[in-house]
Amino acid sequence: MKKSKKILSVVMAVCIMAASVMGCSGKTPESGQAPADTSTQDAAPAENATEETADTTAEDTTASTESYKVGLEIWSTDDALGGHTKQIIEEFGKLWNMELIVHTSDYASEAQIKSIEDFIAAEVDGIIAVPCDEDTTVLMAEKCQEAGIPLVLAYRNVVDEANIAKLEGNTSFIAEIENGDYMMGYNMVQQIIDDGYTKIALIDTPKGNANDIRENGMRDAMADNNLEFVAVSTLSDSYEAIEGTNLTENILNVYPDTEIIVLSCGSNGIVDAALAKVATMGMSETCSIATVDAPDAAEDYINAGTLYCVGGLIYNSAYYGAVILANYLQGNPLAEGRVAYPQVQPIIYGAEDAGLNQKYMIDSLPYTEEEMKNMLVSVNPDFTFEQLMEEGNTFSLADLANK
Amino acid sequence: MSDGLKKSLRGIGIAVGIPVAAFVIVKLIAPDLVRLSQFKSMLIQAIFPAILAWGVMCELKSGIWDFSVGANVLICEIVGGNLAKSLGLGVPGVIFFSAVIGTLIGYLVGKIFIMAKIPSIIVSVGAMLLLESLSCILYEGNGIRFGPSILIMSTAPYNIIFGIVCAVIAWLLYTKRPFGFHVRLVGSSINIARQNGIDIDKTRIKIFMMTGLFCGFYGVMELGSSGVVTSKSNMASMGIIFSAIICVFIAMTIEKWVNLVVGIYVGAVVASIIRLTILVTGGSNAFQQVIMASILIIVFAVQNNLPKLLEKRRKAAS
Repeated sequence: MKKSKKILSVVMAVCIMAASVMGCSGKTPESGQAPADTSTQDAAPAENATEETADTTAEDTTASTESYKVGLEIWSTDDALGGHTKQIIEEFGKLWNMELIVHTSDYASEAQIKSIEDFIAAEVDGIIAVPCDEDTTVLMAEKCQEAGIPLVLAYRNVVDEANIAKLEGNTSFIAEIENGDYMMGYNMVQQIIDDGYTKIALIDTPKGNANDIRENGMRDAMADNNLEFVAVSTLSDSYEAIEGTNLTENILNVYPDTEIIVLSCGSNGIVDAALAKVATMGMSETCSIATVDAPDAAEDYINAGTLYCVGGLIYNSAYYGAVILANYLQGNPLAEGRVAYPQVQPIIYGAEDAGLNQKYMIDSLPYTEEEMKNMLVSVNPDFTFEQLMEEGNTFSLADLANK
Repeated sequence: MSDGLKKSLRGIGIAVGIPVAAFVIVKLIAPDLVRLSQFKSMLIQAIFPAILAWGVMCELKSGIWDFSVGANVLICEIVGGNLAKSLGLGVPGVIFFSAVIGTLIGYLVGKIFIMAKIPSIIVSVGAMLLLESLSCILYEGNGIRFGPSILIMSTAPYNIIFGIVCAVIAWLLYTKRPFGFHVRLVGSSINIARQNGIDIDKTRIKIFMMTGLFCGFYGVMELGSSGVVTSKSNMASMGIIFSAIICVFIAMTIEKWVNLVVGIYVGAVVASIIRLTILVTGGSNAFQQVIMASILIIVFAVQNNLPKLLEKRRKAAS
């Protein structure tokens, strides 16, 4: 009996290990198919990095016969934003013979630097990265400069004066595509205020990660309107759904007049939990939720009137970074010097927007193969950086639907 | 009045007095914002961390550090939820499968710990990474979206009933079964435990299984709070353990007077009240972390020095 237990334990351990090794390859959304999870995992601490390789072999539609290898350093590809980012860059890569190597490191600085070193060792032609902070950005850029490999930042830009100075003269750092988190936070709260709400509460995240930028936008919008959040409650580092429940309950218990609770991070089911708590407290009529990370059932929640608006859905900025890198590697740089590309993110208000987002951003990619090809100068010599800027900054769900 | 009765009354006084005193302080700080009805919310909110803390109390008592708890919870939620959903078993199915899966994982981690003969921290970190990876591949990494029926577990009276059932199980296991005695003895001295004929390995495996069982219970409650659980990777599940550890340490400090199981709940209520305090005082998140860290240091200091202080006081009195 004792022996059989031992054998059973060993067999189970081997099964779990085997399954886990398979799991390390990560989940890759198939072409044209979006991952079901629409939340983002913006800031979970981590130490180890995982690697996955996706071969995007050339097809007949390839715009160039030369092949390229590009490294993508990203927090994860298991969530919707990370999954879509990888998917759209891969799809685009098929059009210019690009093989994408993906490293995920969940915003751990050391692991991110290690990824860059691994990419350099693998002799990639270019790197697209989403660094966890500006210090990491500087280190990444320095390593790329030493290796002579172009670096594009996705969803990030450098704002600290000292870091800007450090990066001056770095010719490998070719583009920074800001995803407009500040303006998204600002616009979201401004819209809420414009709609007549004044009793707004905030559930935010611990300081020291990318969510701070959008929270700053939210706070500035309140300040510009001479308003203060009626309450601010902070999630812990573990980002558990239960916290969404508890913090929402506390806010509504202490400040029952709260009209809208804004979540600067709604991933991991936090927004679902907050919505459920508002409903179970019988306060859906008097209090709504506005969030940055869209829940799976965003359309249903918005239709039901419990979810007021959703922001932070766009993964185009990483794609535009890939466009800049592709043209650069093909010898057709879109601009002289480093490109700074601030992109405005749309915010979903109302059922119509939610439906359009589901259809054109979640269930499919926003660009067709033809449209993507036309952003390569090698295919479309008339394509310019100004056109790319215009495309990004005028991008809207309504235009997408019309198209 | 007999000594036993005195001791019981003192225990009840401390168990009730600490949370009430904490709430009264918050009420004094913000009399306009804090109402008595909010105390009920604090009591209910404390059920969540208490369940997990009841699970890890035996591990901490016996010197085992288990960082795989959060990942175990994750697998319980995802596998238990999906199995119950696919078989149409509803909430009872989630409770059953989560408990079974959690216990099984606990057994497995415990078995590896015993067989590999390496520190529990290393085994549990390895198990955490393996289980997180599993969460990314099972059901295509989509986690679980159970639907609104599970939300019943986060509403009264079901959450209260579930919490009481968990507390009774923990109390029975720790206080009324030989297992609890073995845990305490293993925690005090492995050599003495061995000399008394206690099978150390078997006890440790049981401890891991108990933790796994409560991971399953916690998973039910967490899934019940939102109906949605997503996969995690890169140690993202680790943070969950710390709220439980704080509750256990608070409970250990007052264990001399209050049963550990009850003390854990008292600790969880105090932690909830601290969160409320921060909300009503408008404290920042940094403030929240400072308070929790300070409390942990104070608890540790009290825990280590209280016996000496009491002894000194006793000597001075005599």
